[in-house]
Amino acid sequence: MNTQLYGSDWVVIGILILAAAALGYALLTLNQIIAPSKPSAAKAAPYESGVPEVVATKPRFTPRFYVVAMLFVVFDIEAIFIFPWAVVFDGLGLYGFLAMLAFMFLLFDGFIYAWKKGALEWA
Amino acid sequence: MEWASVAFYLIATVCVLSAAGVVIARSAVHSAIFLILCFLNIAATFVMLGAEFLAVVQVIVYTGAILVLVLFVLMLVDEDQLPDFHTGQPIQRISGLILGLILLLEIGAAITARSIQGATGGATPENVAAVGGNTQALGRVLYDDNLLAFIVVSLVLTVAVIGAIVLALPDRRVGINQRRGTGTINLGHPVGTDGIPLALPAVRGESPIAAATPGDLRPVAGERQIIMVRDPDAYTEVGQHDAAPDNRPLIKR
Amino acid sequence: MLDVGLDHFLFLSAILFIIGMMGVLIRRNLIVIFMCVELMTNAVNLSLVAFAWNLNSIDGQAFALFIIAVAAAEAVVGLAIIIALSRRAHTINVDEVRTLRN
Repeated sequence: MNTQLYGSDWVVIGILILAAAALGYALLTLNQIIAPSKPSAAKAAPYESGVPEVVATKPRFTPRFYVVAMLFVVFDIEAIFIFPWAVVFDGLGLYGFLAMLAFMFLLFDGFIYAWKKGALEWA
Repeated sequence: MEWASVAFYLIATVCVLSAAGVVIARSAVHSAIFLILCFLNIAATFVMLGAEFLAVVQVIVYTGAILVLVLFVLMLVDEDQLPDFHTGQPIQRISGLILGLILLLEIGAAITARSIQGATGGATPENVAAVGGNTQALGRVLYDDNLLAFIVVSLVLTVAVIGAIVLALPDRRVGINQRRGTGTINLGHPVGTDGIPLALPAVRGESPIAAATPGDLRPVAGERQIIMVRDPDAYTEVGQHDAAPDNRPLIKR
Repeated sequence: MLDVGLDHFLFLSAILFIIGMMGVLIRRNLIVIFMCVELMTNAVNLSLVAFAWNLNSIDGQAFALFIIAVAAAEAVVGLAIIIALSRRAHTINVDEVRTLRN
């Protein structure tokens, strides 16, 4: 059985994660301790002066935001697949290069479709 | 106990607790944050299992992309469309718990009574280190034996993009002004109040403009304001004065 | 020797899978159900990687990578369905969405 569960490098990364979490927590706590807090109803209102709002106004966001986030996910996956390909590229030769070209071409098709469909236009 | 065991039990505990938090949390946003915690811990177990590249992929794709997408959808969906936490019949909860326990017993029995042993592969830690590391070893397997699956993945992603655009994109025939509920016209006064009255009516308290018949009104001269209105159909448009036969304001609708 | 073996990882995977399954059965919010499905996918990924570790093989990791890619495609389409549902049916409660049934 494989007994190489962890190396000392990962201890360093664990310390980094702990330090990052501690930094975020410490900054928030310090802010809460140091900053003066005098809440009032006027400060909580959306507009400090003006007519009080009648109904709760939650803005409707357009689904175009979703399309942009979706394209990000898809090209994120593409980047994930390109990384190990680039690492072993020397041993792959022309065949691997053509395979990656086909992969990127197919993904680019989806992007072209989104473009032509007007998914990226905001006017 | 070794450090690895302590780390495993810590990670497993946090992982299971945050997974339970996904199911228990009342707010869907809290569920998503618990899910992020759970995915980070699964990435940590991937590291323990020697799959460093997959751990990074887990963090980048799941916590970095998919959970962000989920939070986007939570932003896009109206809050009052989310069902209450307590909706659903009790039988759903009870049957869910019972089925879960039964499945847990079954899987537990399957794991403890496992007798089939697979053939051990050649990717021992020494061999993986000789190739250069986990990413190199994974790349060799990925682009050598699984090249077809790799191409098919791109096809699946393309189809997903097309499907998502068809499903999520708003209908193009509806103009953006109509969706927003406002439009721009070149006039500052509502329908029926076009022009300035020639003579004020005798009746007190009544709006002079509303009481005047269209014949009493002379058209407004000069520049007109550009204003944003909620319903463009309720207002007259510029240029139609001149088109009217007897210099009467032409009223749209 | 280590105390942690394959069985530990498999039990962790099983528990996560079952928590996800319970969430799918219990919760009515479609977005939470979607998140529970993602949790189940991850549990299966974990068991695949654990088997690959136990058998000194990389193939399990390649499978897990493909599963992650397909899960991303599934997330893209599934969340688009949720958005379309929220716009057309004005609810994302799975008990109230019955238009496919009638």
